[in-house]
Amino acid sequence: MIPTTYYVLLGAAVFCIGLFGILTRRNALMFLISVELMLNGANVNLVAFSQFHGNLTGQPFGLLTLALAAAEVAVGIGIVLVLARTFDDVDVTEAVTMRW
Amino acid sequence: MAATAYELLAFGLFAAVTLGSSLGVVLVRDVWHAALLLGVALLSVAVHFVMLQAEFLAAMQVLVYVGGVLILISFAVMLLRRGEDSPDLQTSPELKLGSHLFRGLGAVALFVVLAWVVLRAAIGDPAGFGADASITASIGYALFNLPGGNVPVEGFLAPFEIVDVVLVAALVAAVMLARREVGGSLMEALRPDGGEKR
Repeated sequence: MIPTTYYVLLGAAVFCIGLFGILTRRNALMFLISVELMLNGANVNLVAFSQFHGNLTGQPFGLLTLALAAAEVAVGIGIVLVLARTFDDVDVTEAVTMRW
Repeated sequence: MAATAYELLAFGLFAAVTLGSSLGVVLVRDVWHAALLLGVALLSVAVHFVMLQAEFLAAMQVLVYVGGVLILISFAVMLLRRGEDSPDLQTSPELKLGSHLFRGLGAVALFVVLAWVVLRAAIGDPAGFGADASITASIGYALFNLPGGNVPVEGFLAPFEIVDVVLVAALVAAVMLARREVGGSLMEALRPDGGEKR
């Protein structure tokens, strides 16, 4: 079996790459995509430690994370579409006023 | 139990795919390419799940992420990219000099700290699940707090029900966001003319 350290490093790397995307991009869709990467990094950790302890608890946990990520994307895409409709742009720095 | 050379080779190969496509996601210029690279990254994470004895989770990863989330994102990219007046989807990463660089450096610094902590923690060899462990069945029993699984696990009935409510709330929210108000009356997003601006 692969040492758990490698998987934890991999998860940390994917998480930080997602964080890098959020910090450096301004496109709202790229934000959503980067958040997906971060959630996946966390999921790798959950599953790796589930195998490390020989305890299954991490896997249903990962399953719930998956469901929440899907819900988050559904709402996030809706917000991005409203953003594009209201401001004619998906740049998050453009949207500075709350319009109803 | 030490890792065999083949296991390490497979892990290294797919770790390279995961890291390479993840870096591509945040560095490519085009959002559509980023979405496709995200698909590659998610599929390779599913491969890691298989190597971690989480076959059911790998299948769900492919179904929910690659089949659902990725389709939603491509849907949004295609909706937002129409004709000349489409919003600018090709914002390149801000890697020019200045304060933007420091923001990216924050993520790199976080990784350095995380890697240092993990490497100092000296995590031992994984225990793993036995050959007779029925993992998928045990996940199913655990989600409903039922006895019957042969792997140690906690009950997940309450989180399961809460996620249930959250999914309904997300669906209702997505529908509400898709409605638009025209002339004082709410109008559905699904219309015969496709909701084109006139």
